[in-house]
Amino acid sequence: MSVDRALIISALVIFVMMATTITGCWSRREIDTIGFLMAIGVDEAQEKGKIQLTVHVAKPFAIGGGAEAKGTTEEKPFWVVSSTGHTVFEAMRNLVSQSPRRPFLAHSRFILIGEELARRGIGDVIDWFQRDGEMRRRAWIVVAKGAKASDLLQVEFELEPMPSEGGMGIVMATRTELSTTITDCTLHCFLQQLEGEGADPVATRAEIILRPQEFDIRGELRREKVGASARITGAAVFKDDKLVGWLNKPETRGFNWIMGQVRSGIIVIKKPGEEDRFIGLEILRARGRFRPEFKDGRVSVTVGIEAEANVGDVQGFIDPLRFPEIWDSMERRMATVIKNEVMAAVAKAQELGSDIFGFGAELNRRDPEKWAEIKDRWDDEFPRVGVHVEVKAKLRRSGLVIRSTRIKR
Amino acid sequence: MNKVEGGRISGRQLAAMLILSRIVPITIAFPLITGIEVPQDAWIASLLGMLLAIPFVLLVVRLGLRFPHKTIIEYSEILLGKCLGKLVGLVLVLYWIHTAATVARALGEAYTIAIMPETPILVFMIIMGFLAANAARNGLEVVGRAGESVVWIVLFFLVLMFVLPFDVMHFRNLAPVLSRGFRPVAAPMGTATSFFLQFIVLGMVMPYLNRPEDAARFSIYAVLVSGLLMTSLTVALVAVFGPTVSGLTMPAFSLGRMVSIAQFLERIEAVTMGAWTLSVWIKLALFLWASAVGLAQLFGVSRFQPLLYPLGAIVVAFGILSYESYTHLQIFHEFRHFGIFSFIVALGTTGILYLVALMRRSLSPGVRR
Amino acid sequence: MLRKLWQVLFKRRQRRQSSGQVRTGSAEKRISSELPVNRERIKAAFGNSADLVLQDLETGAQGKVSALVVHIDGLCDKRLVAEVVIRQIADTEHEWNSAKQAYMDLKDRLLSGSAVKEVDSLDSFVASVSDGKCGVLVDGVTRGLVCDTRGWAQRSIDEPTTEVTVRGSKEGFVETLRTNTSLLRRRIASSRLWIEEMKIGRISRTSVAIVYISGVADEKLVQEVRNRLERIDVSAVYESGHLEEHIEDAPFSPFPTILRTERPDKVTGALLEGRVAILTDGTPFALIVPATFTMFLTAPEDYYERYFIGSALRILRLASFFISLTLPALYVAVTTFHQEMLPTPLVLSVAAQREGIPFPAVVEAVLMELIFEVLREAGVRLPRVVGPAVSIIGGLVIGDAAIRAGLASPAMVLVVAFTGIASFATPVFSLAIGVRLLRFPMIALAGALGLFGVVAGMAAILAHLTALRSFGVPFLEPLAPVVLSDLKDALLRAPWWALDTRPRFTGKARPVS
Repeated sequence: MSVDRALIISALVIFVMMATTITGCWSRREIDTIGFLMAIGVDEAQEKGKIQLTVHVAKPFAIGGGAEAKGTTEEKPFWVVSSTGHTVFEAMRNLVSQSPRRPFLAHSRFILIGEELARRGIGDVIDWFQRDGEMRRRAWIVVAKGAKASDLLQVEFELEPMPSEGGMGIVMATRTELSTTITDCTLHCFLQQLEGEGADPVATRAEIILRPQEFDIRGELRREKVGASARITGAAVFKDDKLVGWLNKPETRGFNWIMGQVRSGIIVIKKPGEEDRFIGLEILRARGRFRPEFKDGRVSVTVGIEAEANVGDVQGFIDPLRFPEIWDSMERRMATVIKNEVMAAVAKAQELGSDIFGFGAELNRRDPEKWAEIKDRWDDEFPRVGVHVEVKAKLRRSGLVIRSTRIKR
Repeated sequence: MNKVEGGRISGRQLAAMLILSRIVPITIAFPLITGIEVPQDAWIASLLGMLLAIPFVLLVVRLGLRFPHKTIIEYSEILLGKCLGKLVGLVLVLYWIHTAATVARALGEAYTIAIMPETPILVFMIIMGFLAANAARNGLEVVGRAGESVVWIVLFFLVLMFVLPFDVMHFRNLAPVLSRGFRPVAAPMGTATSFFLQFIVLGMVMPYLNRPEDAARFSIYAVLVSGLLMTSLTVALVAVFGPTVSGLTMPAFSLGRMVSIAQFLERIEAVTMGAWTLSVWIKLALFLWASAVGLAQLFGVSRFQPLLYPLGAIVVAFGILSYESYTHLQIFHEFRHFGIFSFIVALGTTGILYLVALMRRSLSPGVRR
Repeated sequence: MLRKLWQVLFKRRQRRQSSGQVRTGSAEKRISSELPVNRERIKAAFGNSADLVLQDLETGAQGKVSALVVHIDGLCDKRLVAEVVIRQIADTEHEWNSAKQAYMDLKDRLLSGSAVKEVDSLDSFVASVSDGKCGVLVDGVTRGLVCDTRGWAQRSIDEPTTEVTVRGSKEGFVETLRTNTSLLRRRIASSRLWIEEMKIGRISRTSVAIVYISGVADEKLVQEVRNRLERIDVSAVYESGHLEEHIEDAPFSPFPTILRTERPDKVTGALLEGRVAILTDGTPFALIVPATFTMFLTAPEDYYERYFIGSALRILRLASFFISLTLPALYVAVTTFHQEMLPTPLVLSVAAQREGIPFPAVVEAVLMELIFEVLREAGVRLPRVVGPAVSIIGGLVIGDAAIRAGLASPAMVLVVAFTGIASFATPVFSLAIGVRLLRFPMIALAGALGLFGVVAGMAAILAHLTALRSFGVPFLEPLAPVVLSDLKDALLRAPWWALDTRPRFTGKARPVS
């Protein structure tokens, strides 16, 4: 009997709760009353000391879906809108006065930061993004080189009507296919490097490309529609929370080699014997590790990189079966290219004085006592760190042909 | 004999309830790791805290075996006399009520902070308090069975939660080990142990085991399973969040947010939260039951069921009133408050009881049961 | 106060023990030695019903002993009455000295071909006649004879319509108790299959049989079943569902704690596990007690198909059970509270679909669920020829029109339809219907509190389920409490050679013997 009674009572209580809650509608947000923010851009506002927030809101009704697509297909599926405030949070709330739908951040994939703001420091801006429950920690942090984030938000991509999806597609493809130009830098990693001792953060660098409206050498379709596009061109280097410089593409790959983040990509070497011709090697897998050591009161870092590649594309003629030495010399050249890239990255980082590799942090892991001594003067010490690079480059396969086609002369 | 509760539970059910009780604190604050100086050593604290808990659990079990078919409330009266015994019993009941209140408050806080900020915290607390009281009303058997079936769901999601964010785990974050020695680890270790001290509720459950001699075995299983889970969760947390982990309000919850599998399975935190809610339910029910039966035995009432809904209401009210804000809740869970409090209450009472029991036996060996 | 209200609303268990048995003793009418008196009394007892047949016969060489044969037209096998009773009485050339001798002779020799029984009172004589037996009274004797000549038009043994299997016996129970017991007897050819019969219903006197295997079923369980059945005091029993409500443990639970089935093979299996079956005359549905949760998700095929297929099907059924309970609630919770859980393209597509729909998702869900329930109910009630047409038209047209009219989103229609289908995967209707009802509060909870609401609802259901018992056996056994040895036939089915012990509740885990 007690079972039955408990059941009836619980049913009663639940219904009472429901009656109150359904009418109250706390926390409920119908999916069609939400403005999905797909990307968020942060800039300095015109007004001194204020922050300008530019967001890119999806317009679901313009995407189609459902039985009939409502709205015209000509309509752009997104809307870019700005607001200002003293803090990011205030600016975000101020958006409500312009947007009939409540901004919702959980699906935003990018945090874009204008160069000016980045140079001033983003520490004060970034807090809200980790404090707010809606934001993803996996959102990518992108710094707009030579532009404001609000401008970067205006770009469009071909093939994807929604720029954030397009951007994400490019980021993902670049990450796996072309590790040369990008480095993993989500909000999550950024925060860790911001807090961790002996490490400085990096972020993705993006640039706006303006295409001539009437003439497009690439022959893309609907060229008149896409005026501004964007491209990922390397990495932004921070010292603490301030942007101090940029890595270009080879330097970025150098950075990725050290961090072991190279997944794939093409290494171009000059053809041994025929210096005006090139050979393209496709990176299969790579391992990168580094070991900082104390030697005579100075820090030196040994970077070890193992890379495997396939011969992907040869200009001219090679025949490794009959002339095996070309295989070795290609490997040597590959190693040299890698080494040069690594050294370029190290040189740039040392020039900027930013320990983006986390040499200091690794030192701490290996020898906490020594690190405690050196910690306070690490900023001075880092540019003087001697870096020694050892590259093991291996070529594995050469595609479906061993010997190139012999073009008759 | 005044039989307040008539149910019988199995050792497995006991272990399930204890595991769930121990897992609950991670839902909310993860006091082991929040605010800790050297987060990468938290797992050592967790592991040592677990090992320290084993002797305590054995102490409670030995006491219980000495008085078969008697709850800790009953035998404290036998050992210490009517007046002092009732006082100890009352302290324990208050401790359980306080534990339940903290759990209820923490559940509400977790939901209002992370998932539904606009909903009043009372809604969550009242619903959960009601559900728990409802389950406890049906007796220990029902709580035990519910615990037994829920524990698998909870463990599954827990393991899922710390396995799925594998792509952002960097185990090098765990180094350097013990860079500042044992001193900074001591306090978190105490915190870890003090959560295990809540296993004193064993003293209430033991007489209802179908085989009391299993109590030691299954409660040690519970300590080991939950302790190792906590330790691996700590490891996963540090591996994922690195130095930022000690600044997170709800680290385990944030871990759920990091899940992203193939751009499809993302942000499973609400699901893991749901699984935790089930474990909160069981823990609340267990402690409400213990307090109700304890009170009934203290005051010689023959039925504990009528006490449960009022107790549930008290727990909810107490939960609201005890802590001004979430920050206060977290500060309370630091070792210097919570740890010392639990050590005094739980270890103090069992210690006294055990010593008296030893003395009694040495004085008059004939009374041995 | 609540308790008062409770008692007013549901004073079900207040049994009138005193009037439980039919009047006995002095009030009982004796059989008169005057045949015409008896004749009038019987006629009066039946109110001169049209189907009552009274035949006066003269028996003996000189026809000096007169007898009265009573039966009810339609309940007796006409051929049996004519050949075994009437011919034996009328054609005999015996020389009898007295009516008494004639009576004894009839009883011991002449009518012995038809399981003759002797009755003392007119009431039991009448009762036997209304039961379909043929009664014989001899003038001057105050006792009567009752011959078993029962035989009536009955449905032939047919394939069970509610529990269809691809593989397995195609026999189903029919409405006749005796046929049903014979179906069981044929499957268990053992003297240990014991069948106890009792009459329930003060007016209907419906035969109810308790069937169990002696030595396998726990004697305490059998006694409990007996007690509960004996306590029933109603005027008539229409169907086993009527009994079910009187004997079940938790009449207010949405979950059934007694399993009903049309399949003799299912009953056989249950009997061999140590359960007790209750067969009721007039319905093909047998009751099985105690019933546990896993039995409701079990189909006979699980045992006939190979074991891993059986296991896979069970898991599928369990999954569809949870889907039918929670899917709309989860959908509502996710789309109105936890939009971050959906992948971005999906969330945008759902948002696009909901564009312009005037109701909140909760209302939409409840509306569509209601429409679905109405369709389902109409489909069941309609003549078999029209049924499919209605479901097709209803399903397609209403769903499509709702979307076009902007009343529902395609995703919601999909969710509701899938939920409906999933609920049909539960093999036992009584569980499926309970779950379907629970779905509505779940949707409301989800609409009010999101996933917390769903979890709270699940916790409440779980607490209820764990507290449920069916004839002393925890409803969730062997899942909660976990009984390791019984898990082999719960969510999975172990191969037959591993199913070597009976469930725990039959006492000890005795090996199958």
